[in-house]
Amino acid sequence: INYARLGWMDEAAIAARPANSRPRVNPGCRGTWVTPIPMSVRPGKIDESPVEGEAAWVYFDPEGASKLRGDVRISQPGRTIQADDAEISTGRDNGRFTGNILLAEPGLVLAGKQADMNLAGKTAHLDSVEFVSTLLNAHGKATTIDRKENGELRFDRVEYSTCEPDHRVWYFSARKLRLDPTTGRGTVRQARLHVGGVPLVNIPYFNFPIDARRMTGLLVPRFGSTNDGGFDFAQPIYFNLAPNYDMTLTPRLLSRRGLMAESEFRYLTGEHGSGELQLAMLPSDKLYQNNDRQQASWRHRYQDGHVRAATLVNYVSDSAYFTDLGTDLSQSSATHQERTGEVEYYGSGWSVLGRVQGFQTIDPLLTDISKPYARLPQVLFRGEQPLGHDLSMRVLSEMTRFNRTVNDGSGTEVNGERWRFEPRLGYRLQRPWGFVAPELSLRQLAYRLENSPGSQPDMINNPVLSLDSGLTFERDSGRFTQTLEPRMFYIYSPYKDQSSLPNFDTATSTFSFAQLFRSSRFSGGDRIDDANQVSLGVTSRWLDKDDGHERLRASVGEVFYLRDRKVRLNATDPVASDGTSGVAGELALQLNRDWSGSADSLWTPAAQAAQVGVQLHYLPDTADRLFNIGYSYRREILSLNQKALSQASASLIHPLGGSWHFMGLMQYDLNNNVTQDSLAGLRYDACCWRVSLYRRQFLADPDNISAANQRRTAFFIEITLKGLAGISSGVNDLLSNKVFGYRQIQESFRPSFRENR
Amino acid sequence: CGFHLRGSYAIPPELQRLNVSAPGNSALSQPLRDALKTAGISLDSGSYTLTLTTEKLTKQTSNTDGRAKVAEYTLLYDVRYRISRPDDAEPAPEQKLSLRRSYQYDTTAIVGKSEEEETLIRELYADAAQQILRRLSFFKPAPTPSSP
Repeated sequence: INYARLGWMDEAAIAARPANSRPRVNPGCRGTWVTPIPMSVRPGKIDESPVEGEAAWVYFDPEGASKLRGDVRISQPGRTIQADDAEISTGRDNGRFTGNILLAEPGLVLAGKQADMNLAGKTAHLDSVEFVSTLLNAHGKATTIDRKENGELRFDRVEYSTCEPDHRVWYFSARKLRLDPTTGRGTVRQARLHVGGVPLVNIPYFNFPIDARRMTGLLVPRFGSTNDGGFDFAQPIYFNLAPNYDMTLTPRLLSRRGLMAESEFRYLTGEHGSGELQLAMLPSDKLYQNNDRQQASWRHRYQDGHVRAATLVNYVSDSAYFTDLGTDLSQSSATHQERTGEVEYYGSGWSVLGRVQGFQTIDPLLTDISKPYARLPQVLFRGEQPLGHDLSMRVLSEMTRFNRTVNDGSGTEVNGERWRFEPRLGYRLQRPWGFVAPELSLRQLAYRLENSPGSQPDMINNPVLSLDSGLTFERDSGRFTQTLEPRMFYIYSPYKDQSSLPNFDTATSTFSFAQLFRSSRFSGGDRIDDANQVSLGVTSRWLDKDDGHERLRASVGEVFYLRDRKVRLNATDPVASDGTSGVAGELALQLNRDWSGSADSLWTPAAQAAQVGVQLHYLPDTADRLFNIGYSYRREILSLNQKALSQASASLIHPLGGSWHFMGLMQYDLNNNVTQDSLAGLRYDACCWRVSLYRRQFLADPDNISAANQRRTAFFIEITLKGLAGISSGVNDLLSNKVFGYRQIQESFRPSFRENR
Repeated sequence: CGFHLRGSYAIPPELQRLNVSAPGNSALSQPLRDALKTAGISLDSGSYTLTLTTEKLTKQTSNTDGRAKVAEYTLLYDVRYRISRPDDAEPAPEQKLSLRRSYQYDTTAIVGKSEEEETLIRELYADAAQQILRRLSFFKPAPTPSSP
């Protein structure tokens, strides 16, 4: 086969071209397909455009068929046909071509011995055909190809590969192949996969994506071993059940535990929203007293003009499930499984939310008194009404029933209902040079408790007065417009004793620069701040004059407390009596398109570092490498409910040359001097296949494991035949969840669906 | 030191009337429209359109405690948009905006922490709207295609 005739351009041919007209080559390939008509050409309406024909000898019969002999060349918008001989029917609708046919259309070349074509449409029939598709980066041959009017291609006795034609590492032969652009899938019947020329496996039926519509993990098997489960093999099987739902079923064998099944079902309905259902089951785990282990998760979303609804239901059979059977630290680090159903209705200027929510706690160290309350139900009304003259009225009203069972003796069970009502009257004067925004709100809180420990509290009524204001200065400094934005926030609210109130849903907010300007130090509804305090802060931005991008933002500020904060989350918490919050600072940096970074810090009034965080990211446009490094430090501070932490993390993806990439990830706990998570891997990208191998070690919660060792080690290999499988795979999912910027890299390694020019 | 009070939002005249187009489930659409209105831009008119193409909010575990349980989450908010005219021959290049916020987690107060997360998400939307507005004042229209 003369591949150059079909459009194959090897490295030498590409190098011979001027630099600005070289075609794009897929990673790992030594050449690419360049079809005479690029993918981007949108053919005009064939029946409205002229058919131009030329040949060495032409017989034109105005009443009947025309005959063309020798070097026939027919051109139509978006199509050229070459052949030795041709016969065109009356009305020029149909043509029969014989000998050395070469048919070119946008992104497609077919070469054959005989062809019958409808020149006014798309239907065609070719015999003894070689084909090339730049969309699929694929080539092959077939005894016949039939094309339907909708563009669907049907191949008989076909060979198909996405490899370089002169270096075919794999191909499959099949009795039938159908490429359907309307469903975006190729379906194959009675196929045999050949690797290195050796027939490897017979497959009665499979299908694969032919465009970017479905990228589910199909046919990327994962072989590996873990130090607790033994040999670990997973083979995802993709089922394209209908255009609007699909399923991936993954049988997985863990040699020391047993055989498990994982499945994911995704659906999209026209009127009722979309969702995913995930189920996994390992019957009688040999390392877990032969108990069955299951996990389930259902997520559904619905939205139309006025109504939004969502459900989330998660379940696991036992608290060690994710550490033992999950493949991702972000799963095993979870302490709860959420179940929520909610409906929200949006009117004009108001909304009402109804929600039921409960949790499954999967951390065995959490006693009942530390478990979250279920909200059964919560009804939340929010309204906002402009009153004119920059005045506006906002209202929040909530009724929630909280429920939690305490039967392990860790505390007293307190359940009940809570009402919140918070009207706010605000004024906001906003000008380019600054703003001033006073606000008066009234916070009302009432409970009806069962089993209350103390006397039934009355309704609490507390006014809150706040004044927010800021100015914006600007100056010109070379490439940048630099701003200076001082801000002052004052808040006053009297003290009301709340020590006998329960804590249903309230936490202390993380202290940060942004927190200086919020009207409460709590998140949740059970506490009304006592406050008399002024926050002063200043932000400066460097805005690039080219495009207005914020290259640098630096902020620093502090709260000055004019009274002690006697309202506490728990009666046992200390009263915060410092005169200031200490200095909080924040820095965000976007050096150029490649480098970005951020930093934050908090210094205690005694000038000790209370929080330090630094992150630096490198993600160049070439998208073949990245680098992240970060460090977080937190001192234990009881009044902020802040726990001690000192952690460093780094991740790196870097090309090693010759289509090899290194992938690395590390998370280190400096307080305990342990590596919490580490991954080192290699990826080799050949033109039509890829192999990833990686070794991962992570720390499992010692209080939450079924096997003896806390340090889990896993080694995995994944082999992908490009063009037959989606890009989703175990290591990809893992890195996507943990490595900032990994998704962008992943996208650039997807087999090119771009045209070659 | 050369600083002076900002006198105006300095929105180029081409963008003082602007269409905003966003998918039906866009969370940024409303905060963005509010910010544009406050800056004196009249919406749903004019020849330029600001299209929010993608919005992606993801949550990563950024720190874990000594028992490998979540200690901190980071929210990453990615927005892509373009500013185009209907007669543009080629679609305008996509603009990118990435923001992040972190918060300390407390496994004994997870509902309160989810309230804090909602506050941060609202602040992310407001911040993204402000950044887009700020970029608009530096917008340079592409040279008008010479039409006969």
